[in-house]
Amino acid sequence: MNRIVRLALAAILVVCSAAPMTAQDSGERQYTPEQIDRLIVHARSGSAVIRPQAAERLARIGKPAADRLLAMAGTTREDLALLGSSLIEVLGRFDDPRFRGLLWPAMEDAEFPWRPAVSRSLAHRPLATEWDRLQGFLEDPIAPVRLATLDALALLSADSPDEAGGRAALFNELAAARLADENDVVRRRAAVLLNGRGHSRALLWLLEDLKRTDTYFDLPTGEAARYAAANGLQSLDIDLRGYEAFAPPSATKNLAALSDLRAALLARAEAAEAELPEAERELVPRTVPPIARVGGSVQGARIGLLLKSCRRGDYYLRWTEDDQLIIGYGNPARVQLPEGTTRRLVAVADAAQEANPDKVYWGRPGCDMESFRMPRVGQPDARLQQLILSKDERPAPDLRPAALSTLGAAMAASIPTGDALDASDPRTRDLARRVRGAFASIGGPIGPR
Amino acid sequence: MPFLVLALLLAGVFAAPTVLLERSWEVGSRVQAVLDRGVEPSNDVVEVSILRLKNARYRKGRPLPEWVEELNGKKISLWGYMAIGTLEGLNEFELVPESCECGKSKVNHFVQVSLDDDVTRFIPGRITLVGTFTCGEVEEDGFITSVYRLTTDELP
Repeated sequence: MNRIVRLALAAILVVCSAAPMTAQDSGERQYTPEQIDRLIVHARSGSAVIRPQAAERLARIGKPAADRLLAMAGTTREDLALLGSSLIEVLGRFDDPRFRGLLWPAMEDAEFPWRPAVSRSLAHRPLATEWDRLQGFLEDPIAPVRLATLDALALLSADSPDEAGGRAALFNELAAARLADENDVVRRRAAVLLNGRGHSRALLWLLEDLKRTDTYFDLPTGEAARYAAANGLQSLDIDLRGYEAFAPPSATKNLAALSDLRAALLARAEAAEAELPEAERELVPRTVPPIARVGGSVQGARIGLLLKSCRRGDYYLRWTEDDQLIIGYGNPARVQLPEGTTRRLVAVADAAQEANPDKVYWGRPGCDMESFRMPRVGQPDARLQQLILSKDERPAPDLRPAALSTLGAAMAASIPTGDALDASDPRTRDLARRVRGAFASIGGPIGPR
Repeated sequence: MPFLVLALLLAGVFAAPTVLLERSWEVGSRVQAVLDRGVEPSNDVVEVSILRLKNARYRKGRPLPEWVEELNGKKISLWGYMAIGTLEGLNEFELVPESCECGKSKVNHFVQVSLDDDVTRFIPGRITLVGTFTCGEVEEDGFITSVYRLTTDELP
């Protein structure tokens, strides 16, 4: 009987192994060097939607793909950059220290074009010895780097039996500090990680995001935050009590749901805190800080500048009819400017449009972008005009036309310096200098002050 | 008895692919039937948030949420941004919730728009399109290339 059963099992194995494999089964599949090279081509230069899928498949192949990628990654950061962000993002998944040897110098090079991908790659399986090196990146100017660093430190604090106690406590402090991060994605991740360590009060940060309705011009930043917060809570199996992110928070159903949810989260926080040592119970502040709170609406924004730089971070700026500079989104910082500032900027913006009639886009698709919003010349009541520059990882020092550089310089010059801005707010600290740096890293310098 | 066990096991092994194949044919026939039937005409335009589509639960090879499936074949109104780098003169482009998606896009984070009577020109800023929505994975060379699609006549 045993022999028969063994025979039957062998037959099953033979039949199953002969069955055709789909792409999804690739974990077990043998790939030829040519197939691996083809996947690498897809991951480097396929369409934006194919690149991550091809890279993911290479990561599942393991050593044969790692060996080929190592040969291509070369020894310099320039060689590494040529792999592109999708491939760099999966290098950390190969258990090969040589990749970490390539990734770390790139992480520490502020000019490396794919630092968000590098940080996520390193965060996939961080090494205990990397704790100190990682910690400094919690203050990185780029939010995705701060986010990946948080994840890496969370993994290390959970997986380091030798120093688990010390690192766990230190991690909790570091994560609690990120609850006041200028970026809402980082704040939400910090909250979820703290909840997993008994500090459930941090989930009130997500509750706050469920109430947001803010926009940056026509970009619904508040609605996006509501979805992200709802997803975050649902991933913890928390019942949203009928809350729907697509409906306004003021909808009757959502108002009731938010009220129920608040009571449930407070009860959860108190129950969790009761389990914590007394000294740790006050780690998460009792009130959500202003930077993470629902903000009032912004009225009369006439001109705007959105800078997205994978080297220098993101900046959301608006100038209003009554000469306020609005910095950030959500609950933005507001600074009163001298009378006439916005009117003068609009005049410079008019000149920029007249110098480039009918042109609305410059550059190549990529992750660095300058977006200028302004009233259309002669159509003050029409929808704002938007002019966009974007670039990929290659330097483009002359990308921006002169008239837009003049506008950029005027915008940067209108940002107050010194004591006029709140140094305790990460969005306003040294803002003018950082905006000039972001301009320089995208479309080139905007000229001397 | 031992031969009976062996026969049963082998029968199971050889029958399984047939059963799976039949099931695939069944699903395939249903899909074909929907394709043959075409889009049912409707004057009702359903307003849909691209953020809601982006945040709908999507797992490769798994069914989409019911509310998304219910939109299949319907006329919808959808706002979004043309993906940065949209080339001119084509009859399709990606509509995204935010104009800069950092050079990579998850397959459920955009709507593939086809233009029936127009070609692309880059429009910066938010646009709203009305057209026929279809959903489901489209696969090319083993890669999923779209999950959401919208066919519309022309750009605003």
